[in-house]
Amino acid sequence: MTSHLNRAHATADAPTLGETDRRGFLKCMAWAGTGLVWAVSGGLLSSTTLAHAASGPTAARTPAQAAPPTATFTFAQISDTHIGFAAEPNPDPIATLQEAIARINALNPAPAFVIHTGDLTHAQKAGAFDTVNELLKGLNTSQVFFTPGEHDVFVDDGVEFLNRFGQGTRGQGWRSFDYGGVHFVGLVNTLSFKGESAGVLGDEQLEWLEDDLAPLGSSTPVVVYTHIPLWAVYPEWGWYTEDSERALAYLQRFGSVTVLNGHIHQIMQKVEGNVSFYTARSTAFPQPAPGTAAAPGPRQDITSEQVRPLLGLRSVTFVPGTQPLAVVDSPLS
Amino acid sequence: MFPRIHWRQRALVWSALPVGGALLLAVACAPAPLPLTAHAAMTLAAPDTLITADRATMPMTNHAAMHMADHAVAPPASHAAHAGALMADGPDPARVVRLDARPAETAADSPSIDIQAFQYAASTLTVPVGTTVTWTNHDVEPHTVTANDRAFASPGLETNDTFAFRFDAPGTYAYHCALHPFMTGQIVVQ
Repeated sequence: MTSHLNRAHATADAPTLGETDRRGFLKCMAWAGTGLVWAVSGGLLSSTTLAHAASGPTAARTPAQAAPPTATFTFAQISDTHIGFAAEPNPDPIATLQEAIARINALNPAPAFVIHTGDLTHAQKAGAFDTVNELLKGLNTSQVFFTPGEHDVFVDDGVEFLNRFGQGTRGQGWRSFDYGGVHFVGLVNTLSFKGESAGVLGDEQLEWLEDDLAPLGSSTPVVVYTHIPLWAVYPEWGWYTEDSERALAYLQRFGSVTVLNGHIHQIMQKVEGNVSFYTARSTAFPQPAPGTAAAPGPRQDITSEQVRPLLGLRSVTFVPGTQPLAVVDSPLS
Repeated sequence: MFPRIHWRQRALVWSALPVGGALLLAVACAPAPLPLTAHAAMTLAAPDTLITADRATMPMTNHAAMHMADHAVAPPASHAAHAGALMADGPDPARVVRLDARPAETAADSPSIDIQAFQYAASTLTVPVGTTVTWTNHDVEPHTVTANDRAFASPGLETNDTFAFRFDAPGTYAYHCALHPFMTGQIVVQ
C-alpha cells in the first residue's frame, strides 16, 4: 500500500501538472480508500511500473507512469485555429477562436488542460504564432499541449514552432505524460514529408513510441493526439498517415486507446477493436466531406453566417473504471 | 482582407529572390535525374493535361505577367531551339509541355504553371536551360512550390500569389506542395 501511495502521489506531482500540496495527498488517500475495490473489479493494477520507471530510456519519466486512474477529469481539445486565414467562409478566425476559448472556460467541471492538435497558424504567416499565444492566454487553464500541423512547420521545418511550443518534448516535438492514471502521447506526423506521402511519423519517433509504451500495463488507458489522422480517412486528399500501422500495432494490446486528431476540419469517428479514432472540428473553417468537392480546402458552399455550427471544440472526460473516454463535441453555435 | 496585402508583398519579395540567386543555387544543387521508377510513377499520376507552347494556350495570367514586369525578372538569355525529343522511357509526350524555338524578347515568354484544384496544371514541364518558370496559385487554399531536394522553395502562396524560379542548370527538378505533398510536378531542364 505504501508503494501505491507513493505512486498515486507522484501522479499528482507530475512535472507539467504539479500538485504536491495537501490536496494532492488527500487525493492519494481518496484513491487508497477506493482503489482496491476498483482494482479488483477492473483488474487493472500493474506491478511492473516501478521497475520499468527506473530503467532504460523511460527512466526520466515519473514513477507515476502507470499509476491507476485516480479520479474523473476532463480535458479539452481545440484544433486547426488557422490564425492568418481571412476569407470565406470565415473572415475572422481570431473571433471564432475567442469564442471557443470562452466555451472552454465555461466548461463545468473545468478542464485540467487543453490539447491543440495543430495548424495553429495559416501557412505560418509572420506574427501568427504571437497572435495564437496571446489569444490562448485567455484560457483559464495554464497548461496547453501542442502538436504541429503542416501549416506550422513547412517554412522552417518546425524551428519556430518547436522553440515556442515544444518545451518538454523529445525529438521533433513528440512527448508523453501521465495524468490521472491516463497515459497521454503527443505524436508529430507533419515533419517528415517524403515526396507524395502525407502524414509520416518516421522511424525515430516510432522507436521512441515503442519504448515509451513498453513499461505500461495493457490496462492503462492511452490517449494519443496528433494532427493528421492515423487512419486512412481519405488518401486521395492526403488524409492519412503513411506509417501509422506500426504505431497502431504498438497500441493494439491496450484495453482503451483514444486517438484524437485535427487536419480535416470535421467530426469523424471510427472504432477499430479497442482503438477509437476521433477527428475534430476546426475553430476557423470547415472542409468538405471526403470526395464531396473537387479538392479539400475551406468550404466554399457556405457563408460566414452559416459557419459557426460547423466550427467547435471538444471535451473529453475520463471516468475511472469505464472503458471508452466520453467525447463531447460542441459547435460554436 | 488585411493580411493579404502583407502576405502578397512578402511572397513577391520571396519570389524575386531566387531569380537572382538561381545560378548559384542551380549549380550547387543540381539534382541527379530521378530514378526511372519515381519518374514513371509521377507520370502515371499526372492529369491528362496537354499544354503547348502556343501563346494562345499558354497559361500565362495577367497577374504573372505583371509580376514579371514589376520585379524586373530577367528573361531567359535564349530559348534555344528545343526539339522536345524525349527518351523512350521518359514521360508520356502527350502530358509534357514542349517549348519550341521562340525569341525571348519579353518576360512573358517564360512559361507559367497554374495551380488550381490542388494540382499543378503542367505536371511535367520541359524547358531549355535559363528559363524562368512562374507558378500562380488560383486556389483559396495556400500552396507551395518546394523542390524535393530544396533547391528552391516558395513561401505559402495565397490566392493569385506567384513564385518564379530560373533554371540555369540541366536536370530534372521534382517538386511538391509542402502543405499538400500529394501535389507533385517536375521541371525537366535541357
